[in-house]
Amino acid sequence: MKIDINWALLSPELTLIGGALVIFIVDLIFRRRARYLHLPLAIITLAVASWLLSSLGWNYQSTVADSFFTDRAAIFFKLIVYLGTFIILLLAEGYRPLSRYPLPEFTGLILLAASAMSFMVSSKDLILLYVSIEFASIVSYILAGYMRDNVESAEAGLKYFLFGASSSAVMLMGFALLFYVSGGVTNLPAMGQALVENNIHPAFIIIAFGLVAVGLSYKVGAVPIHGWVPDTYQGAPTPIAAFLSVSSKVAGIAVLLRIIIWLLPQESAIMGPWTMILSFSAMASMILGTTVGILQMNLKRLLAYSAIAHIGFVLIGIIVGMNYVTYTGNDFGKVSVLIYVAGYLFMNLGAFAIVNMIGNATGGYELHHYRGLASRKPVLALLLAVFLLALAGIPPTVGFIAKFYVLAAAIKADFIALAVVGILTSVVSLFLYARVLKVMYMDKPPKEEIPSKPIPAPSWAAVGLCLLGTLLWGIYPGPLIHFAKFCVKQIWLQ
Amino acid sequence: MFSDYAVVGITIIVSLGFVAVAIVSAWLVRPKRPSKLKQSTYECGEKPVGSGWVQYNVRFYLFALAFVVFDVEIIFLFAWAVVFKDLGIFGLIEMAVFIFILLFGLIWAWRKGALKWV
Repeated sequence: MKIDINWALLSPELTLIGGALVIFIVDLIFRRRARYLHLPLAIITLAVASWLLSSLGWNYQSTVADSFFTDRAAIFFKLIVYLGTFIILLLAEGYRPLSRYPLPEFTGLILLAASAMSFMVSSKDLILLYVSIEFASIVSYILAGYMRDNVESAEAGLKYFLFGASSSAVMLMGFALLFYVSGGVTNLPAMGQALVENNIHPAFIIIAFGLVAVGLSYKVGAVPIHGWVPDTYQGAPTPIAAFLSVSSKVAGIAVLLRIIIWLLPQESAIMGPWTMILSFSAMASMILGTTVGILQMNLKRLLAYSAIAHIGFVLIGIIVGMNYVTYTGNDFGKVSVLIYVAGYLFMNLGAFAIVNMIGNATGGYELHHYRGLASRKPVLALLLAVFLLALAGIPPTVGFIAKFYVLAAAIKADFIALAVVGILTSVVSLFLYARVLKVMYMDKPPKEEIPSKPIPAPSWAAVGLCLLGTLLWGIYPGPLIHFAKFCVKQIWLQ
Repeated sequence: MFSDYAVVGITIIVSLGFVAVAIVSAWLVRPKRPSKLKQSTYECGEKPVGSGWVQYNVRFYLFALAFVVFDVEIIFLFAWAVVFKDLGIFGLIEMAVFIFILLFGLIWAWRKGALKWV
């Protein structure tokens, strides 16, 4: 038995795992002094991994018995995951409550999670897919409950774990059923072909896909498995809430996109029902995210509901992408998914970064902590306003470009109902974000003076990066759109 | 292909039926003469003391975790030993990496004081 392994393809993921191990070892050897070493080590690891990733070349390649692949879209998603991880490492450095807990392990775990998400994006085999999803989930449970003496953080970790364990069991059932009806292959494109050729009763495939959808809906935080999102975001350390809302979801979206491309060929009999299921999930996510979000008095919960609504938008792109396919390149649905994900990375991380800073300065995340913030911390208030308006989809930010592309794709593909719900919830979501702006700019600041603590430089660097992405791609989106089109062009090769 | 599973279904039904028949027939036939000693928890004379809900020390949990890791390692080693000749030097290196990671975990837990009984 000979297994051919192209180590170059695996090198970014292995680098991340190696970097995490090095950080753990450094922590054991240097003990206290490791505090100053772990962040540079992690950033070097991420930089090396990104460099190795970009030197792979844009063409489709696969290895390890065709279970691990890389192509343009995979590289795109991985770059997003790594960039998100980088920004989150900077944020974690400036998050005060965390400083009482061992930080090197925290950084190492974040690198391991990034590696697991990277494996998720690249898996072409059912077994590797499941193992990498579990790997990412288990590391995330630990990270969400990292501040273990803090009741809220422990609750966040436990809730995340309970939702994750049960939905992952359901998803495993779906995988088993898919494995069975496709006649015992685990390679995803081969399964897709077998599902069409074996002439299986559509009911089986719908049940199997429904079960898999439960697991993926948990991973991306879409309705119906959205219940963990607000509680986990509120309780988890703020950088981890940001990590779960961006990197983890991006990996989940990439998996969903691949499963749809490989397991649901155009001629598949269950295209209709599956479109219905996803449309329901998209509409319900958008409506629930915006309407319930309006009632929130805690900024982290508010951002959690906004994240649910944004996933609804991404799902529109995926629905269009699976139904209207032109193999030539103008694949609007998938292009819009990539653009949305890239824009969402910057604006959502930016919002979380500012909320993190304000939380450090004022000591809380409740809405009343934001009263009159504009007169006391004008820069932070202005930056938060920019990111929130970007999330609402106001030009000239990348949020507008992202929403525009998704809605244009939906209208072009005749999904009028989805587009209407998207536009209406967009309008409502403006109110959701404007509520925070009103509190910051129009309410009177409270009497008592709050202690002003200096904001560490890494946090400013993170915010600067997010602001650059949000505004630059909002004003000049050409390169992003071209890159997204370039990445989608080869998504069909197997 | 679903008829293959009929055997499983019949087995389940037969085994449930067997248990039901055994219990019901024993209940019909046996004499009933309860006494105080007979109805105690341990019929052999051991007296039950205290509540059944005893709190275990949470430290057992850490040891249990460390144990599970190495238990799983043994399972992998068995599978590896079976195909050792086929995998050759590649398998040896793979296993060395795997064992190194687990060993490192043990060293880490040791240095962090997880194995200390306080």
